Amino acid sequence: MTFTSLSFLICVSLLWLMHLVVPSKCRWAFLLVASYGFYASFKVPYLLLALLAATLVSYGCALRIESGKDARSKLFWMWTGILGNLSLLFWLKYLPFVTCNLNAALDFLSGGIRFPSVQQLLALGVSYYVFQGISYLIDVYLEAVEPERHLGYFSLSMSFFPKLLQGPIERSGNLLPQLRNLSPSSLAMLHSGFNLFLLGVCKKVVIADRLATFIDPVYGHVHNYYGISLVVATYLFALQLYFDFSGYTDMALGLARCFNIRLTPNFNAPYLATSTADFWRRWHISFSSWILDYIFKPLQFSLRDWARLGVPVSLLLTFLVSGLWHGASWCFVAWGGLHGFYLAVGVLSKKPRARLCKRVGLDKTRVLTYWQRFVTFHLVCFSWIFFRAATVKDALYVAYSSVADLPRSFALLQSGERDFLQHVALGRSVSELLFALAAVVTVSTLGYLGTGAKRKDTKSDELAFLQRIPFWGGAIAYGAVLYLITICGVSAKGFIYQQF
Amino acid sequence: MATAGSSRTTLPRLIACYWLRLLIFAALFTVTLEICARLDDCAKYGAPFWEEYSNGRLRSRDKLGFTYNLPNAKFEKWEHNSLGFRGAERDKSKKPGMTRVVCLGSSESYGLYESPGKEWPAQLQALLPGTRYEVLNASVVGLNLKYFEPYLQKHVFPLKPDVVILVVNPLFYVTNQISARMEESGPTGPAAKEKPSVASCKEKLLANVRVFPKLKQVIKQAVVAAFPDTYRTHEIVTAKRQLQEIERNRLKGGKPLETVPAPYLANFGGDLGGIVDLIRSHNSEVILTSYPALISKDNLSDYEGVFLDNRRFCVELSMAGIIEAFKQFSSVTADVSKGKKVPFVDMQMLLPKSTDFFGDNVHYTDEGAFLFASNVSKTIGTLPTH
Repeated sequence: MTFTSLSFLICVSLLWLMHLVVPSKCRWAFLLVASYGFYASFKVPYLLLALLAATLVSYGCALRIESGKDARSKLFWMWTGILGNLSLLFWLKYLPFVTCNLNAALDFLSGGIRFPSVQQLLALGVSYYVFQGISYLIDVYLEAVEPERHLGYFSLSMSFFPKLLQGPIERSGNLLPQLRNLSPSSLAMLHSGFNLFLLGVCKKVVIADRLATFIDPVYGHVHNYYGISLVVATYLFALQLYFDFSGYTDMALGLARCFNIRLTPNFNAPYLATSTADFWRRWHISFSSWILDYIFKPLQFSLRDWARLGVPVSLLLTFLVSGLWHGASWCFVAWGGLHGFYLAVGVLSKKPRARLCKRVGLDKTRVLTYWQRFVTFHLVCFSWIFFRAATVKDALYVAYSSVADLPRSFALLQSGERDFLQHVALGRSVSELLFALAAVVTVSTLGYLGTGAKRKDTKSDELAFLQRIPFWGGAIAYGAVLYLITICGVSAKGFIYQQF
Repeated sequence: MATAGSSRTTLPRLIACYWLRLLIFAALFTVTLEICARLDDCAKYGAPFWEEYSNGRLRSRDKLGFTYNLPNAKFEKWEHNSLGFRGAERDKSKKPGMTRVVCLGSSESYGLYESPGKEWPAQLQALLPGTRYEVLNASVVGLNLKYFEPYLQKHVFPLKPDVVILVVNPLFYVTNQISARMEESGPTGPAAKEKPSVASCKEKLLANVRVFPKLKQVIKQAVVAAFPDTYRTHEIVTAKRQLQEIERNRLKGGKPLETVPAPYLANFGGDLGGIVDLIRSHNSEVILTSYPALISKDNLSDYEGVFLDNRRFCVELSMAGIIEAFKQFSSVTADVSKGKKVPFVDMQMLLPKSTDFFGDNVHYTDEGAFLFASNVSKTIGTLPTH
């Protein structure tokens, strides 16, 4: 049951109506049952057990941390909880990858011993709530938050259905206080939630899924394409990934608002970033802040004696872990490593670059900002090649052919504009591509207007400016959006970040 | 200062204002949807913005009442060339050295569910060498064997085809035979004798609103995806109810036939044989095909809804009668091909009975059309002069 399916929309509408009449003391139980019911709808029984296990381990260990007599016992229970959560993640997500690579290494070395092959299990949402559990345990250990004594509230914070499958990775300090005081949302909050949800659906079915029809055939068989086709496919993937994930996030945030819960925003115009570090402050914010607080900072502290190399090495290691979190595949590790490399080089070259900009008079100019955005966007797009490709070999082919085969692509112009356009449009309709790009521009403009409005009033919601348009304008807007979603939307595909 | 009296008058006014705003909102919302639908049609299909836009643009009836395709007509994915056929533009006169192949059937050959350019005659063109073969799709939705002769005379023989491939819908033939016996049949059979119904205002409005059919289709797809079993049950119940209504009107108390009567089959054989002779008299070769269908006795329970939907076109036969009819007519077609010594492609056996190849009981998917075309192309290769 995905967010864009009819059965989900009917269920969530009924849930919302029912939660209005449920007594306030029982609302947490109602939402908890609904959340577990949502997870159960995927018909994978062991996932329910995994969620329950992660919840109970995190809850129990946090209480033991608090009641621990000395620092050693607190540390013991923290690590017990962390390892408990990680072992769950390892079993569900990484065991086949590890055994496969170990077997490959053993075959190379001895050829005799082999580990038994393990079937890849479905790990829907596990990465997200395991990380949430770990952050909760560390926060309790560091006394940043009090451990939650009410198992129901804690269980709901782990399983709350809008954020269960793809995050955001919530911090206990944000979510738990809201769950302790559940009440029906105000009309303004409901309106805001509904608009955000609609925007998310539009991003997903009108843009992301449409772009996927261009990209999937290319990255499914990369060797059938070359030159500009691969460049275009990579740019389109950058857009698809953003609209798919931010679309999901908007839906999750919108849904949560309908139940009077504010989740953490996950995106802030990431492709306007002026450096890779800035990119990670804008992309998947809940995850990047998690790895910053719980992996990078402890690593940086541990490597503080490494002088200049401490921070770059910490960044590299952090992002290797980040790559591995995204998927049990060397492609994701390569992707993460690439970002770690970008950040490391960024840190090491910060002062020389600043000196150079000052010397040529570009310091703090608009030209520099645009140049930085251009470079950052292309560095990120290059890394997306590894994120999307099926194997490292395919990724290297795409990277190589995108540049080396450009003359071959341009040679098509000699046989006629039509052949060249077909090549650029990846063998599909040019008008379909233009429609998708027009939708990208429209939604991006809406987002830009929202960001601008938010800068003026930081307390306002993302689409608050839409709530000020007259009711007749609203009727036209809703009509157009509904048409786009229902008639122009592409048939539902899964969410990309749901696989992580 | 508000008084009790003023609050009493304000409240009804507030309620009226509220309802008025809601009505205006709903009206603007609907108008926006309709404008979007029209703009979408304009952009996608080049449809007119203001005029009526329906599949009626594709066909017309001549003075004798026979249906034919309008040249250069266009509706959604269906597009006719200047000859009134689906497919690439063709000259009326044949190019020297080219073998002209004309495909003649009804909606299954015209193309219903296939992507544009994937109906079987178009796929046949793609399979045959383009430098030697030219394939024309002369099929018309609803074309009946009874009307093949006038249609061939007017629209096909002037093109001087070298090969004519016939795909004959058996259910239309049965319906036509029964209608001929029940009443004096005109060129269009029972339809000509029905009193023309006057569309109500509501029906006229719905016919002109483009967004409702689109929304209906989307909602149907969403319901089928979300509740497949419930939808299937509902589809079957609705189809049965509609069939009972159609049976009441058409059979007028009579019972549907359990099998096609032998005289009908004999007439079919005679008529088909006559068409074969007619085509050959115009120096064209003939290829006959059996009429493939999805449903059989073995899979009826899996596709009951599809079958009931198809039975609306021939309530004169029972469910068993229809399943049997395809076999009976296939057998007669095979006999005619043997007797007339023309190639016969038994599509009924060659097309697997699966929804991978069938969009409904008698229309094909892209894959089904490809299989159809590839089997025909093999047969064309065995013709003596080709």
